[in-house]
Amino acid sequence: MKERIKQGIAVVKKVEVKELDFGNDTDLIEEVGLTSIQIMNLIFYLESEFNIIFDDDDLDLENFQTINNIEKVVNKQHV
Amino acid sequence: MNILVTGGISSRIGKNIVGRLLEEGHTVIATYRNDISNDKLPQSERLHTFKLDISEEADVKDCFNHFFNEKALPIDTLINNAGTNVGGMLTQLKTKDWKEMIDTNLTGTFLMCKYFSKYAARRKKGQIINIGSSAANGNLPYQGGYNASKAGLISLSKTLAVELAPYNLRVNIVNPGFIPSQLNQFSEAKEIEETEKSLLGIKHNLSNLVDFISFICADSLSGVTGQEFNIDSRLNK
Repeated sequence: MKERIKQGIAVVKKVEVKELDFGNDTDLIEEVGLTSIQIMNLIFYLESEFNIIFDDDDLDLENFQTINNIEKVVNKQHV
Repeated sequence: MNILVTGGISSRIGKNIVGRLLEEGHTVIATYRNDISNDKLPQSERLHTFKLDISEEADVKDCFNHFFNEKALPIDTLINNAGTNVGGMLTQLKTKDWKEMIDTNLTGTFLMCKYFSKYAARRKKGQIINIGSSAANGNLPYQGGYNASKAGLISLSKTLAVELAPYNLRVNIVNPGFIPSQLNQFSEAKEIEETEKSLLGIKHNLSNLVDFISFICADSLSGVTGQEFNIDSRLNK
């Protein structure tokens, strides 16, 4: 799942996934430089990629700030 | 094509659109808010109905989950036609009536677009047709809530067109001209007044509106999004 999330980050940043060199706990906003619009596009991408619809209550920035956090919130939607 | 039409049973415009789309071989999902007897429905195996209050988020979620997932009937085109109008001077308009118009015409359309987009984006194809109104760009008195809600619909639609274009989803607005219906407090005097405004002296453009919707649903505007189309013969409204 982490690789699919990373692929989504590459898509919204419009770069190749091989260009993304950071860990699963790296801050996607502060360190990777995702903008708020790119985060919104990432959320929409993830919904499509994983066939889920996030609950409004889960749409907190913190849930999308690292790959590990994203994995947790995606898994929560599957329950 | 699989096409969902809100207000596709009870409204005059909706019924005409649904009838034409069925004639042309499309599969149509017509939604309704208030119960209606089956004998008033067009008889077709390709017609599905779904009871739905578009201003209720849970209803909207259920609707798209039902058709995209449970029925495996992916919707290609969403036509947001449901709407309501409560007349009156803005200074006397009851707040509950204002809210009803905003909830149905604007929030309801927003919810339909929001959840349709989530499913349609997975398929990387789909279009939304929002039925607007000439009232959106005008200042017709005694229907200020309706005018404001339809003006909001234009902004909503154009913004969505920008946001959804990367997913190959298109959004356009079709503004009908004057069409006598329960929405515009139809009266004979009103019809005469509107006919006088028509450059062609015609009473209404319902058949042209249905023709145009049918044209769009046939994917004839696959390269067009974010646009507003007026199906009208009046310049001064």
